[in-house]
Amino acid sequence: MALSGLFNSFPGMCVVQSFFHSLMAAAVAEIAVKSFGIRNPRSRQRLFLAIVVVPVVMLPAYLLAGPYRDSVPFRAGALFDSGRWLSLEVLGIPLAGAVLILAFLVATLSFLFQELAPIVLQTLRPSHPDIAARDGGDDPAIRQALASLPGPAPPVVIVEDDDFLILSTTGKHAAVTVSSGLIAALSVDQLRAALAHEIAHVNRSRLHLLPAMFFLRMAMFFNPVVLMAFRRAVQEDERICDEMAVSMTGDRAALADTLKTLYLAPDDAEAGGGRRSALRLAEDMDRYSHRLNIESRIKGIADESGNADDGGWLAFASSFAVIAALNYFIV
Amino acid sequence: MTTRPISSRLVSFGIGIAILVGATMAVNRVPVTVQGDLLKKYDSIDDVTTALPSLPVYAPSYFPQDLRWPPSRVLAQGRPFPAVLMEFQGRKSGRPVLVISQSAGGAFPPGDKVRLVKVKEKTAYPLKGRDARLEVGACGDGATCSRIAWTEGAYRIDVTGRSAPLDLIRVAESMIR
Repeated sequence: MALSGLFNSFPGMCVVQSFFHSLMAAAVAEIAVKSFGIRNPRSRQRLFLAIVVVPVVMLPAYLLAGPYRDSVPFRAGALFDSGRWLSLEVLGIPLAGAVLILAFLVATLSFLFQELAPIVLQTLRPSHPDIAARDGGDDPAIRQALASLPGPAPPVVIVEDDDFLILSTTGKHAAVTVSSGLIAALSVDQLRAALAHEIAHVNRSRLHLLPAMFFLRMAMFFNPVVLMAFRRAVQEDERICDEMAVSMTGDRAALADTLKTLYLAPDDAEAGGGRRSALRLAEDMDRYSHRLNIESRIKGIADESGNADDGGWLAFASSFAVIAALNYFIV
Repeated sequence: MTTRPISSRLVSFGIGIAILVGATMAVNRVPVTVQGDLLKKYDSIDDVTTALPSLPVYAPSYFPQDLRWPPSRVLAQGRPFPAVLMEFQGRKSGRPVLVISQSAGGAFPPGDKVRLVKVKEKTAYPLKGRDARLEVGACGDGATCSRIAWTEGAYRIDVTGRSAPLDLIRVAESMIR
């Protein structure tokens, strides 16, 4: 009863409906990707971001447009009434409600520790003056790699580290940071591809798309569907930057080789024999998932037709219209 | 790689959406199939009393002549809280003009046709020994509406009609025995 009271309150109703609205949006987006054969990462990203936007935007719009969606006759005739599932009791336990609360809890913890905490720590953490860094403009390999790239490049900073590291910082003081170990491991063509990818990130950051979306994603911190959709959108951003890098360098093979060198090194032999802790298993799964993602990116880079216009806007418009219509009847 | 024509992709999309809608409707029916006392539509008041025997249904014995009997819509639930909603149509208009709802828990609001959205006058009204609240105002479409509400045992009863309060009070009085 306490659980149903929570879900029947106005904030509870908003939370529950936003979850089911994003679930429906995710299903429609998946159908659109499959039926339209969407492979262009920009088109895919638009669809995944729609899943993030829909629950934030549509519920207030529905409340304004149709204030009687809370009425009993409307709920009884709705396409999906979440209240039915949330009132369902198995052996006296509101099972669906409990599962939903658990899913919200996992998504919230995941948001706090995997997404928000790293940002906060990075903001609060002082820079490391003990790590030696130098201007990449003085490095012959960097100079050679940047020479044939079009447009102005952001400053490149080299940190003295044997590990493979390359990242871009965005904003007013945009820069690409690369480790000396990575420069030593890559050929000039591969280094050019890697730098082009990071420059693409810097260029795309000027659109402020993902930071804006992150604020919407923050509003849905409890929503596991939005969590997954946002992560997929971020993965698509990597693919978009891959395509931008290829268009800058004109060399698909070099970027694919770079990814292989950086991320697909043979796995370390498993330490400690056959015993595997839960933490180790989680790490393995995370690594496996990352590996699959990199392999998929390499496959995408090799596929020249993947960036072609695939009716992505039509798929997006059709999906958005369908989502808006169906979600109105999901209460 | 060959690209399918747009029309073919739209058809695939349409089929996919049709399957999704069908699946959602099926999923929506599962709780009611598993647990019979959840919110659903009933054909008559008798069906409600048969399906939910512990739920007392407060129906009026007086009924204005311009209304159709039986109720055009009966919705009831035993969970999460017991509640019933009955909707009556006008004999001539065929539109819902009276709604009686009873709830032993949270809100059980009627639809937009008969819902008091603007209260112009509000007064306490003694209804056969009960402290009722009588409100007069306008429904969603601007038509004159009135509502009388009181507590009967564990239930809050709301009688809302697209009419002046006089008829409504007679209907309400006939519900108290």
